[in-house]
Amino acid sequence: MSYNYKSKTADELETISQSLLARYPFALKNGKPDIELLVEKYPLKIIPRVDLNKLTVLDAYLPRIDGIMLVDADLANDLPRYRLTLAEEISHRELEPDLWKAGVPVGACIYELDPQLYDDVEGDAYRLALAILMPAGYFRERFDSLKNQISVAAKDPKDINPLTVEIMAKEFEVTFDACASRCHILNICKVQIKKPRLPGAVIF
Amino acid sequence: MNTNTQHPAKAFGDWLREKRRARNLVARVFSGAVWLSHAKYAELELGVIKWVSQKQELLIPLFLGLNKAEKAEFVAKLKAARSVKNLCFSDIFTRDELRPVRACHHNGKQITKEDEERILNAVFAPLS
Repeated sequence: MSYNYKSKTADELETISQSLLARYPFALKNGKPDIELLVEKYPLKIIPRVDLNKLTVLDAYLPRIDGIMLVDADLANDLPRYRLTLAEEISHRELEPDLWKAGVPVGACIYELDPQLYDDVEGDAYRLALAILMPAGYFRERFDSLKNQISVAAKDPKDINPLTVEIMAKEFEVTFDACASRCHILNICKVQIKKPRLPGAVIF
Repeated sequence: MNTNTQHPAKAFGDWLREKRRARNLVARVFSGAVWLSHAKYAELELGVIKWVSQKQELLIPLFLGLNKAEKAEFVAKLKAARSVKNLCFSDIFTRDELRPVRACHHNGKQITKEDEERILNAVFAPLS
């Protein structure tokens, strides 16, 4: 018996992220979510384990038992990546709640998914994580405002978008690639991402 | 989870988590304030009380801003936790409970069944 997961549309992912953020308004600070606080209030216990990444190349995972998220202990040294990983894991919890409510059905375990289904599940989790960390309305507003300021100062027009994305990434405490992918998803601009992160990242 | 729900060390960890969360302090930041790594502090909230030394006994109430009654509760719960056998991480979770369901691979790759044992070995490796 194969596991059934229906891939989400962009609009559905935006709705899910808005609904999640609305449940935790105190976690929004200046338009951006404190994802660590949100995860803890969800509530998920963040349990760092030493050398998880070194020994297994995993940054984080959700186990069978509910309410737990295991992360590599060194991951928090890179806060943009750490925040993105926490958001991705909570996205899995939001996208497939029955895995923890009703138990993991045959065929639903991560290594049992066929490659296409794996890409669908991971791609949705990544895009939902981006939507959570960079809420559409505030993100657009800040991008436009920053771009206007940068446009005045930039010597070469082709630098404007990459520079805006770089500053936005710092402001939203996400990686450059995450910010560039979000810009592409929201049809704001297309900027070359530096290191493709699959599945889910937008590549062009 | 294992059958340690009523274990005094687990009760202490739950109480500590509740007090910290009520103050909107995230564990990673709080752990630094009380001179523990995030990994050890997370174990402490699960019931692994061996990480509480004199330093943490002093710093935890201080940084949580516990009032007199809460401080007394902290001391009593810690004493109760210390009166029984210490728990370690493998007493709290079984390997089956911590098998991965969804994972974030550093390179986006799908893990295999063979990876699972390596993951569990890494997770259950005792902290030093």
